Amino acid sequence: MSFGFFLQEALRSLARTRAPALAAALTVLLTTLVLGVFIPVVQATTGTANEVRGRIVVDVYLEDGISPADREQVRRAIERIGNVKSVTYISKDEALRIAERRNPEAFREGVKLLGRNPLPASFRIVPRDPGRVVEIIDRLAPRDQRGVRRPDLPGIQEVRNREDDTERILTATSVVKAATGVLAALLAFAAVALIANTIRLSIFARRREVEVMRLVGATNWSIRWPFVIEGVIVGLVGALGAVALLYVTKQAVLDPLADRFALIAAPQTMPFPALAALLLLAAAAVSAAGSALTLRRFLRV
Amino acid sequence: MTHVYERGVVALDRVSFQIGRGEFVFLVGPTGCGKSTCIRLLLKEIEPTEGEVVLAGRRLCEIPRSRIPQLRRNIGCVFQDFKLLPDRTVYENVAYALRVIGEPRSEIRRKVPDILRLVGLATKLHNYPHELSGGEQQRVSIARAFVNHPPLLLADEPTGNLDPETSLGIMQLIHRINRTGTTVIVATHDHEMVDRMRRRVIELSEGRVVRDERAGRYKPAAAPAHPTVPHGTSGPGAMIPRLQGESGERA
Repeated sequence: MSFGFFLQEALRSLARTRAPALAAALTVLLTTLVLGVFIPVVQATTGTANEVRGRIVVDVYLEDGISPADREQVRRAIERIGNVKSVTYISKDEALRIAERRNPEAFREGVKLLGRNPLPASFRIVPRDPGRVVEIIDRLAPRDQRGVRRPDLPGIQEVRNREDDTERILTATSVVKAATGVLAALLAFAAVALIANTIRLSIFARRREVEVMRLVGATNWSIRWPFVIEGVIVGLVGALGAVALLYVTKQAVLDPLADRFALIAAPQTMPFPALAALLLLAAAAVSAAGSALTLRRFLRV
Repeated sequence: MTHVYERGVVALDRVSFQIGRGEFVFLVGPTGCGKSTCIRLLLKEIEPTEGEVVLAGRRLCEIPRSRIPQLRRNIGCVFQDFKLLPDRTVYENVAYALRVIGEPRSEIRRKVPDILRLVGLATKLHNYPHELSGGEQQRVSIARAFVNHPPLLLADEPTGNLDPETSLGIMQLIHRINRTGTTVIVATHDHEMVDRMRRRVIELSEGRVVRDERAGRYKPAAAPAHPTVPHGTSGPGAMIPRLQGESGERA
């Protein structure tokens, strides 16, 4: 039997159940949209968080007027800590160069405005075991009775690692993941239910055809195919709408911003065509499943 | 065979008859006597509770579900309510039956006008069912049932919704189909038609065969004209006929 005939029947049937089909398509659109935003956001945040975690270092910022003797004392203190893999001294000038390399205009302007280099000199410590990085900080700047870190040695301004930032990013990521996941699940459920409902109405609208098909000896699958195709069309229309919206948003909003925000330009996110293909495929699969489910329940051939 | 519906209604009670190839048989009796159940059993829409249906030497109970479509392609069906698709033209209605069983387009283009000419609707190809009279609609439904020249044609009250004039035309059409060698079973309670045609009559009453008569009338010859169910004649087993000598239905 020709696919063309099934398609024709599916379209004819869609024309008859326009309103519920439209509602189902819109729900699919919404679901796909949420997924289309959710997938890259999770990918980007997870990627960034992992990257930061893999680069864990402790920075020991020194006071501006530190004497060379104090500086050497600090270095020796650091080297005595067991968990230290390497210590690098970064002078004020080097710090500025690094910062400039990262964001040339901002820093050149900033330094010009301030009239001096605002960045402190520092020791950068790479821990042997990133998991026990807190030990290093505790040794160099133990907490006092009120829990505030106080540097042990003269000349140390502050001891910091990026662990705090990482944890914050990870927490935010998991919250975003959970919330969007729940939303996506709810919407997916609604989408399946609405597609199933569309197909049920369509079975009802086409009950004469189904009866005739049975009588003249159409096979079960040739009776079912038009309904499955109908469901998939509804799903694909919704998903295509969502992909179009995502594309427009990406072109108009995200791409101009990507130059400035590392997170948006995060290389960990999948390319847009792959994302679009994934969404379309998922929508088609889910709608086919929704149709099949209804057919099993309401169309006993 | 016996058929008991789920609600416990006994639709057919130890009914047994044979119909030969090419025969024309009326299945008569009042509403609820089991005529339609017989037709549904032949289409394997339902399975008999007891006993079996043998069609063209094949026991229907041995046909797997997946082969039911093949079985039905060999049986044409006509109903009281025509079962036409209202948003399709006469041509499309007949072509639909061919398309859903995967007939190639060229075959459809050849067969549909032929069969519509046979039933006398050559000029109404592009009319919609609501533009036709009841008789014409039934002709379309007969065309659809017979377009593949199935060896067996089942008609369930084909004239039930039609006036006597029109009914006659429909019966003549069915008769013509029978003369091409097609076995025809007509379930009806149209007295006039049965009396006029004088073909084999199998009368059912409360799920039992109470009469099986060659060239019969709607009522047994001796029965009063007043339409009562000949209840007294249906003693247990007494009138259940076993027709011998026929080769059995060969579809």
